[in-house]
Amino acid sequence: MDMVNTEMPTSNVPSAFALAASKTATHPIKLEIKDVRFNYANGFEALHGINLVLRDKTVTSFIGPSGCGKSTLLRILNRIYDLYPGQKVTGEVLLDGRNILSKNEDLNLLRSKVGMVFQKPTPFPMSIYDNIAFGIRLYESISKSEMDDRVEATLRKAGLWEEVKTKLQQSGLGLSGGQQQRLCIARAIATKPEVLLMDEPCSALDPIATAVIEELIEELSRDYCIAIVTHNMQQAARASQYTAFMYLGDLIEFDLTETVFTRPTQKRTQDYITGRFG
Amino acid sequence: MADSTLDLGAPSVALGKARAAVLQDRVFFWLTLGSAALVVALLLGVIVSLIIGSWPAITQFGLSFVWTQRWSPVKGIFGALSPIYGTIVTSIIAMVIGIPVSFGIAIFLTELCPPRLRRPIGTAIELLAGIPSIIYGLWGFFFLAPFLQTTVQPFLIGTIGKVPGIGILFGGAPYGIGLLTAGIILAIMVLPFITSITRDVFQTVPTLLRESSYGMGMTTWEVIRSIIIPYTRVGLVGGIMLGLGRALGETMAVTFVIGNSHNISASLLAPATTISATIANEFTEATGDLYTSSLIELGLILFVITFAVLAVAKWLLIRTAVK
Amino acid sequence: MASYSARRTGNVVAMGLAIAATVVGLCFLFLILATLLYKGFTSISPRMFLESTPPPGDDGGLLNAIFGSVAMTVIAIVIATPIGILAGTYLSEYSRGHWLGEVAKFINDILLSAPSIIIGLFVYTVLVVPFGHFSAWAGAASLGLIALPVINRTTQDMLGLVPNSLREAAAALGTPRWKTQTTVIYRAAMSGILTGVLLAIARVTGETAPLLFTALNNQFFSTDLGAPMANLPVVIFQFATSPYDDWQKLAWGGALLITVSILILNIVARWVSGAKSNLQ
Repeated sequence: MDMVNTEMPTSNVPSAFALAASKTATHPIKLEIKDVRFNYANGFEALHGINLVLRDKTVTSFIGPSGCGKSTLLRILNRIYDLYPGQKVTGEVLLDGRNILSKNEDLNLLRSKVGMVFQKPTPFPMSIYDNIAFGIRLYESISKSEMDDRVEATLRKAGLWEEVKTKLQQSGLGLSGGQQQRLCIARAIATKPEVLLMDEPCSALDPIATAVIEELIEELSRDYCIAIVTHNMQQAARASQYTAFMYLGDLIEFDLTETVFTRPTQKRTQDYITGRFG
Repeated sequence: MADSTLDLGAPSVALGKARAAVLQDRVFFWLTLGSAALVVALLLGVIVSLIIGSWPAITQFGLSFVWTQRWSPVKGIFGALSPIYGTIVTSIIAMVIGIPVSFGIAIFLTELCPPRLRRPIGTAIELLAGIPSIIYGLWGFFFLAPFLQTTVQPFLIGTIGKVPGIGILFGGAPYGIGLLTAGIILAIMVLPFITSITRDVFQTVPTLLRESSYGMGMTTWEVIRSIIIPYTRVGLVGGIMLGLGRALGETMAVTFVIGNSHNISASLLAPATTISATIANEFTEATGDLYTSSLIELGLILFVITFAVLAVAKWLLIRTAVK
Repeated sequence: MASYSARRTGNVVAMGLAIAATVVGLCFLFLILATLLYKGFTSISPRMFLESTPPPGDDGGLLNAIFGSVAMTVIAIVIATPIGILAGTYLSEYSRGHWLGEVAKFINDILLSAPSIIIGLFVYTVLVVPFGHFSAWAGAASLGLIALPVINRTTQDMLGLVPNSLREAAAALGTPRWKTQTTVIYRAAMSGILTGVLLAIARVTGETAPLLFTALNNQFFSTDLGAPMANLPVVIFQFATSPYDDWQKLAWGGALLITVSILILNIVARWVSGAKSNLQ
């Protein structure tokens, strides 16, 4: 398991592949994506039938060139596309065996269980405390002291507590870019979701903030099923146990990260990874 | 809602809140929809009430109301010709004076003004829009009218007034008040509107077009005249129509200085009346249904005219994607 | 093509005219404000705020008119603001692109620019005639009808400025739509919406025509909303066009009062939209 492709840059996280191998073996399937197709309002089909699974307590990364549909797929998993009329999805997405694409699904309840972090940090225009408490208040009734504890625990988990513990009442907008993104991650995990979707969470951040967040993702993967879309292949290699490579709306390859990056079965995968296009 | 979807393993508190949220969403949606619909209903209400209110006059006078000059409350004969005439003439004067001045200000602010002065001067011009109509009326009545009466009007009468043909426009005695004075006040009132839209429209000209024109060696005036104005033509007309719409409907400023006479004279210096001034002056003293109804019919005519002008203005401005 | 010197002269003339136009515009502003200050300043005294309008020849103040204007404006804004904000919310958030929504926006803009005297006629027909008398309620209603489209329009514009990413972020947490609107989106657009309300108040202050046959006027101080009520603009109109010096002086004082209020409202509106945007 120490075989590392010589073209891959070194990372300072001790062999991610070794870590990955130890984690993947027995985790149950959390999300099953079955023959999912997606059409924009103008009829354009962006996804041509995707089949894959996301396992609990693992990180699955989605890579591929711009326009390949990876963000589109992610946005199906919490049905956020429903905000825009005219967009259509067929197929099934089973969360713990239940199809969340059905018409009867309560979208708000679903989204409290499948959280999402976006590319651009979007803290709400309220205090740091309220940003975290916001999601909790939606579906739980807890006392003030309980809420204080929850907020603290969440911020600790997101690695933000030490930096903001004295300014909880200040506006979330006053934080730096990296801190805001960690706030958004904290906000997303405050509701104890079962799945966490991350759409290029680091692309708007500087390398230092990025490193902090990657560490955070690694921490979180002990408890959550995480799917992360990324443009950064090195990040995918470092941070995930499974990798899905997509191209023009098709799933080209889906396997253990180590396999995809060192022994890909598809030529297109090989070309993308070695930088021949993308 | 099939229960199978709600048992995401969520505790009952969450389920309760989720169910409540569906109802709350619906209530909020209908509240917003109702409010938006209310605005539409109000405008329809305005139109309907105007028609109902003017019905007695419409049935009595028919279409001839529009070209009858006679306005006699005593005899019960009413005609809209002189208010319509006054409305149109004062608005034309306002446009003739206001458009060039507005364009001049807009040109100054976009091409000549030092950047640091741009905001204060622009704000100052916009302040003119904030001054209410009645203040303009007061100022016009106590300051402008006497001034015109003692200086400008005698001058006009003595010079252009003596020229055959055009001289009719400036004949008669200098009253100070009258069509010309009202037109001048209206011009000042529409200045900020036309200036603001003209500035916005000028800004839509692509920098590349501007720069290449200057690069060719054209003077500022030539660029404006041959490039910018033709390019923004549609938006400019839209802005002018918007100003016109305002001028047509102005009441208090005009009421003070128009002279309130139902006579129609060729001279711009003569007292006259406009639709809104007539209504403002006579409504509370109108006795009898026919009198009131005639005044409301005047309102209806004014509404139709302004609606048409505003609709055209909006359509033109949408075409240039200027708000 | 004309000679170069002719072209240059033409340019100088044109630019000179542009400068002259600006000077003319600024002069008018200056003249109006100066006249207002000069003629109205002497009327400003405690008496103006403590006594009601006098009969001709006597001394007095504008208390009843000030009270009436404030009362009717407050009622108008209290009613128009929630309706305007909700309507603006629908047109900006819910009716995205739908043709009915576009029609409603167009109609709102017509109402916005309609001559205010016609609004007065409408309210007269609906709230004065059926009851047989003028009233402050009718006056407030006509002022509200003028403020409503202003608030509607500014709310639409301000909500349109809130980035979609904020809506998505709230939705991704499972926030119901109405809650996203009221606790996140409104908060993000709050300074803009508030500015719209302030500008609506400024617009309504000084509106005369619609009050002429709704609230009419009242010689005395009255708090009866079901009866005619004094208000600054109509009092100014009546007093200024009268032959009495005392009345004319009071008219100028009232005019100065109105203009100063509008100026302050505009300054506050500018401050609100500037300061709170630091939250963004």
